[in-house]
Amino acid sequence: MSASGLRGTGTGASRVLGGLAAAGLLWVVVFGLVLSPPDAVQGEYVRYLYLHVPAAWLAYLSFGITALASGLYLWRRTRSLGWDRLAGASAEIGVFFTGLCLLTGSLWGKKTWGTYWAWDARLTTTALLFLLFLGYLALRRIPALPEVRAKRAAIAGLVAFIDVPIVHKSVEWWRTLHQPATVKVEDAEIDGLMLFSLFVGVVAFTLLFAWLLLHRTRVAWLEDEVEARGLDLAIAERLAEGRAVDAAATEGPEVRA
Amino acid sequence: MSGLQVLAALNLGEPGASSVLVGYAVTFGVIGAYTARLVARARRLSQRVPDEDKPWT
Repeated sequence: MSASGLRGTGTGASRVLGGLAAAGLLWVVVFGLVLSPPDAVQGEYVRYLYLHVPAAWLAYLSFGITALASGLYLWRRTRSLGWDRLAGASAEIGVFFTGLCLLTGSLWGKKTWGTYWAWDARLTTTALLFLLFLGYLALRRIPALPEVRAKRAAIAGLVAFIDVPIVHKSVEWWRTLHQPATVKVEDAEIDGLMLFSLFVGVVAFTLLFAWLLLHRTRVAWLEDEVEARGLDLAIAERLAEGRAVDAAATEGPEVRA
Repeated sequence: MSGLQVLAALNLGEPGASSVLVGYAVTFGVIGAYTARLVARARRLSQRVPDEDKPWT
């Protein structure tokens, strides 16, 4: 592998960010599994929430970035394929963390509610969010000119984002099995160390998200660049073939014995 | 004593501790797999574009 290949999409700053994210995740394990006390009602299962809540936060954040970048792409003054790449990268990471949110939530639900899944408003709207953005990613994979792909993906991203506030408000709008927000700005109904563990989880996952987003956006740039270079090469080959055929025709047919 | 047993001995002797450990292992395993896949993809694609053309170098 060449030095360029080994370097990949990393830079000095991204390595520092990656190191911070890794250290943060280690702290999540330490606080989540060791330092944080068991809950009076949920017992040890409360520890799932130090993964579940940060994953849910990242789902909101990533789809929010997708919507913002989509809007910036659609606005003529700021139109750039860079926004499209950022939107796609953030959506992919968002789908990943929404999946993790559903996974950790269902593990927690099995132990506390007695079931992995219930057709509850929060769970159902979250599953819908997951499917909407999976559809968004599938739409991006349909072959098209970069500008065409970017425009339709931007519209789809904005439409899919409508589900995010619905997910967030679902516990207030409907009677749900899922508990309402535990951490509120004015009054947190949670033990100090548990709250801090949750905070550590949110910070660590956000650092991880920033690192992943940086690299995924650069990978998207590389994908577009490799595709463009491949197309240029194919066009050059076809032109060379065409010139060879023209030259052969100009020289006239060979007389064979 | 394995790493998991050490963690269990620290504060997780209660019922349900093993399933929590499995949940953490699965979550971090999935994060690790996605990250490794992304890095491998970045390295593979990066070989096909000269460094001087990359905006971040």
